[in-house]
Amino acid sequence: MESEKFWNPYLAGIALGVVLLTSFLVMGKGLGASGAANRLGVAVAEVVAPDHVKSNANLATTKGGQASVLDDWLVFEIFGVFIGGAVGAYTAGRFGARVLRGSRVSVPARLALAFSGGLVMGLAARAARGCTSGQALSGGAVMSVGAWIFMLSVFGGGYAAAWFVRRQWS
Amino acid sequence: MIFPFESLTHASRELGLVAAVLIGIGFGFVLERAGFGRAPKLAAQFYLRDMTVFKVMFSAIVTAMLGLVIASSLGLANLREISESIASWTYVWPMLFGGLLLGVGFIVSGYCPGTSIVASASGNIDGIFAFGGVVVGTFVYSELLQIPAFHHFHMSGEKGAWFLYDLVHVRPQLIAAVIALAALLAFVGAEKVERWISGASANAAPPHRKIAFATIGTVAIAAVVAIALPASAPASTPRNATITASELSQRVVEAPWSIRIVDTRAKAAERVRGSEVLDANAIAELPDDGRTLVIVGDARHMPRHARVLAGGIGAWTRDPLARALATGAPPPPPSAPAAGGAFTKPKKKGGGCSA
Repeated sequence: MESEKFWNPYLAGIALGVVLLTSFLVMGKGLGASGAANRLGVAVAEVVAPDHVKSNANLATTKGGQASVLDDWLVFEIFGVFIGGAVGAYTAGRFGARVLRGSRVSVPARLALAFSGGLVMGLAARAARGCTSGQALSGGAVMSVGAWIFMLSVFGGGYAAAWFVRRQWS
Repeated sequence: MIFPFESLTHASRELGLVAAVLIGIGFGFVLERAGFGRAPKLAAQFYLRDMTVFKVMFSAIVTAMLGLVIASSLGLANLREISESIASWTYVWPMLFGGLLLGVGFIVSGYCPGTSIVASASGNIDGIFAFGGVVVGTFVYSELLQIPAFHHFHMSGEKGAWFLYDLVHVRPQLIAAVIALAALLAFVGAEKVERWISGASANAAPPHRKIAFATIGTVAIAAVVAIALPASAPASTPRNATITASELSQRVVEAPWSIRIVDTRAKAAERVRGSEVLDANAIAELPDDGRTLVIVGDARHMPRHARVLAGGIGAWTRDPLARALATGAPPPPPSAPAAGGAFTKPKKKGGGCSA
């Protein structure tokens, strides 16, 4: 049976803060997620449509000077996030294939909403130069003005849209 | 200054990537244990039923922020330098609209990009779909950037490396303490809101509240310590804004019209292609024409909208993309300089460490 036991949010937050601080001090970098997603997309495109990647300067320069678009700190960090998430879920008895949804939404509808919401977030994260991890959390902790503008906007956008999708979560 | 370990990002890059995986494991594990791998729990934040997202996020921000401020007060790190390497530049309009849009995507999908990975790792198929959407979205954005008007929006409101303490001109320690105290008040408010929304179970879980307030007390003490410690000189002295060689080479490719490169060195063996040669005294009078002014060499009299090329022409000639631009040849594989002993640090030598 799935366990619903989670850490106390404040203690979890402090633990997360210690991980973030370690990343700051050891690597001089913040945590991130959407940057790795971007590189993953370019890597797939390089296999499927290599000429297209070369012709679009924005895709071609994602690589910087590296031989592989996946040779980047964020990609390795996200690989770690995947392992850490799997270990966390397994050891808490929450590991298993399922679709998490509210009782009033069907499985196909839930998956379609998940994908389209993800697509919107992919666009948004590129515009904001980062997502909730890279921009709001990491940039917020170093007191970047742009990060705080972004963070407050995320909550604003979420609360504004929540009413329209309330059926999904009830 | 001790941190960050530059060797991890330059000389022994492989070791740095191992550290990246380990830090990622910590990140993913904590997110999962906080309940962030589960969409209904995350979504509840936006219906005020469960304020976990807010509590975890702000506890983490306050912890890391105070840790960094204290480390720099103790002289272990240079706050501004480390912050500039962590934070992206501020672009007001894309960040404002990006935030609103990401909030919409969050409540529609039930995840943010990072938590969708944790959800996928715990076997939640909806998480895999959300992450797939993120990958597609970031890719589509690169296509949209091909449209000049869209690219103009993408670069609008550029403010460079900009921090809250630059905005209000006070010591970073004071801003950190104010944010920490505001977070404490917000936590108290969040507890009240949760009890108010859940109604019937109002008198449940007193131990939970005890832990909450013990935590708040600890953070408050840390905040007081952060203010009491004297600011070390490099932490509070504003420095000329810089642009790294790799940022500049990327800009030369993506948006050459948005930059103006000025070289203040009268005689030089190598220059950035397309740069103008001007006297160092003349750059102070250059008007702000909307382009980013990049200065190579002496920048004593630089105007506000200017950035200095970090590491000078040396860093530029070492940048793989810049080299590729100059020669037309593809960039070399990265492992060669990392493995060989001849690799030199692109940053200036350790003079700043003793300051």
